[in-house]
Amino acid sequence: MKILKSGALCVLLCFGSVCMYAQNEPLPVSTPDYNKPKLFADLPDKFTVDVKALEPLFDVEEGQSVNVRLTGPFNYHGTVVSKSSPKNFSTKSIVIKSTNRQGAVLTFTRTLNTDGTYSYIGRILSHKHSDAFEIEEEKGQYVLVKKHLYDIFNE
Amino acid sequence: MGSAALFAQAPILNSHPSAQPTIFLDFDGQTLSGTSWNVNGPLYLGPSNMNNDQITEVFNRIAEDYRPFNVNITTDSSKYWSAPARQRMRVIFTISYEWYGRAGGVAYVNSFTWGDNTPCFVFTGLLGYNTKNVAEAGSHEAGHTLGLRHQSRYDPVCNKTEEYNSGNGSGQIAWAPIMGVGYYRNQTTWHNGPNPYGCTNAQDDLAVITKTANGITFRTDDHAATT
Repeated sequence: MKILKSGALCVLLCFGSVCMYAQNEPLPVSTPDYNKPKLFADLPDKFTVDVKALEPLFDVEEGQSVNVRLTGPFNYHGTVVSKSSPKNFSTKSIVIKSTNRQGAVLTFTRTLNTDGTYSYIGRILSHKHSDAFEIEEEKGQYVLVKKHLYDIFNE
Repeated sequence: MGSAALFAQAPILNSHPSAQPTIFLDFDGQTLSGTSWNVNGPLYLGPSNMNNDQITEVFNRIAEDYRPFNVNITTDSSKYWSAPARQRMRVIFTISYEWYGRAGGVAYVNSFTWGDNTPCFVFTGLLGYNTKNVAEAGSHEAGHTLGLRHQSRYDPVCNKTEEYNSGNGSGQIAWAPIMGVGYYRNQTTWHNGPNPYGCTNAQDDLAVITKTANGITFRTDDHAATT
């Protein structure tokens, strides 16, 4: 009986400790690292991109390799890792993980506007590097603009 | 956390159903593809593991944060799909954090207007399923998608002391900015204060939320100012 009582007390004490630990577990608030290495230091801050020339990417299947010439000095090689659902007729997206810019992922999206025209967005980024590119429309053409990672992504 | 029966169907809640811009609070899990989160292929995100009472409280807290604006906070997916593609956001409350790492939540800045259904996330288990903390993270991450950066704190000589301004005070009157860290203070609001890029880089949260691209305006004041 004494052993049972001691055992029960032990269990209660352990349970209480676990509860206290759970209550005191620090909440996950991590400071961004603004000193991550750059991935695109060799590339200009802005260059035009021919989005029409990227359209064939939407027909590439998951798992297939692609070589994309984004601009003169910037060839992007990678593997298609994800695509948007084919049931979504108004939005097409493709996600390509790079093999020549380690860690980078290109996401390219075409959306159907209400007037029947198309708009394009996209980005190339790596959570392990401090720089990234974003596709923007500027004066009727599309450009890739270099940004800081935390201009695009945040916790 | 409640019995399994309470997880069966999240309550259908809307804060401002006539508003077009929509922030959808998704508690029942999601399979995700074709977004910048899909670095390693499809994502299978588990549900929030919060019961209906908890979901309702989280909803009410987030709805209160966004009350000044013509935006519908909803738990109804049909409201999300009927909103304009470039004026909507899905906030996924999920226990599945391992694919990303340890954080309260994560978002792409300005993704509210991307139009490609990129969601943001709140990791409920890492916040202890605490309704206040989960709601704080929900408002915070949705804020990023609207274009908000963090509200930071600096010392008198402009050294950054906190990436996430943790606010001031204690007890009932303690306060923190929503885009700082609001877990530890009773009240949180939108704020006009320095962002992480420098002590003189002021971010007016209200102005950013209501910028033209978001399509979000202020609600009409139901009690006009008096002289």
